[in-house]
Amino acid sequence: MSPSAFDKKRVADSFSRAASSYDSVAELQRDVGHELLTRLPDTQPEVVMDLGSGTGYFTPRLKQRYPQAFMISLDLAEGMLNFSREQRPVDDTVWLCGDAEALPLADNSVDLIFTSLAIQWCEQTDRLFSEICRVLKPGGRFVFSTLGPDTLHELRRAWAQVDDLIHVNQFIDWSEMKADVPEMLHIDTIETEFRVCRYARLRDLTNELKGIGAHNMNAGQPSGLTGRARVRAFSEAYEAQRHAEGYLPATYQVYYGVFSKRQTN
Amino acid sequence: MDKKLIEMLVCPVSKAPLEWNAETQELICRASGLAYPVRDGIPVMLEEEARKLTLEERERK
Repeated sequence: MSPSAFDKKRVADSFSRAASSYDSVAELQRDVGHELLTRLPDTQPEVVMDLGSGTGYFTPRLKQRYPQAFMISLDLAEGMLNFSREQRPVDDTVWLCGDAEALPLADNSVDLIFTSLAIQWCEQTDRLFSEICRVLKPGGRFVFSTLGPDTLHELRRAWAQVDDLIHVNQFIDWSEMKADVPEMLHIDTIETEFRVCRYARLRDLTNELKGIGAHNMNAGQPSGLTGRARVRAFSEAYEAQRHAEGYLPATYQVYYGVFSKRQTN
Repeated sequence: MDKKLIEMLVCPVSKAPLEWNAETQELICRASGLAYPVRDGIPVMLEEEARKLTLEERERK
């Protein structure tokens, strides 16, 4: 961990923190989710939704926090739901296959929505937020973590030296996201932090990124360089960013937010 | 199907309430004319996974 490496990347956000380092994205995802759990409200929700529940790691933790609640574990991937239901069964829980941008839930039906590192894959933030707002009960909370635009900046920079194509998913900035928050949702808190995954070899990094679908090595048409030359140019550009302590960094910019739905009069 | 769950669920397209068809293991929306499968107890509430109801099915009480 070296704070100096991030001086250049300082974000104009008073909540920014020093980066933590990780050996894998899975480890980072767990830590971010646990960090998000600390932001849960001390309320007694009747219905709690784990949105984009993935492997189901956080569903039992939410149930533990709110033992009286009816749980909804929702994910876009049916395979994930089958896995999580079998591997991590939880009482009073339903597993639902659905899309965060077209939720299959009635208006004003959920007290608390928890979502960690899932909504960055949504196509339209305005649709997502309006759906969140619709299904939340008045006074209900939306507690989320997502990725910001500085995520994988090392990867972006390395590819920029090879061609002008887009190789890395462009995550939207908070200012842009904020514009999509409906009037009925109150922004209670929003924070930014940087977390860094460390890799010994570039191959380890690219393999892991392929696993989470964060980039595409084969995007677009090759420019003047042949495939092999492009990969070499990319590798050299990434290697140039190797940290003084010897590892290759992959930075994740994480947003944590809590919104609440306003009470209607 | 859990009654409480059926009451909470709506069609993701029309947002109208759903009917449970135990015979076909589907959640039916008459407003959008879509039938959502429930596979291994997991309702699959995606428009692209839904079956379009036939005219006859839509008109049947």
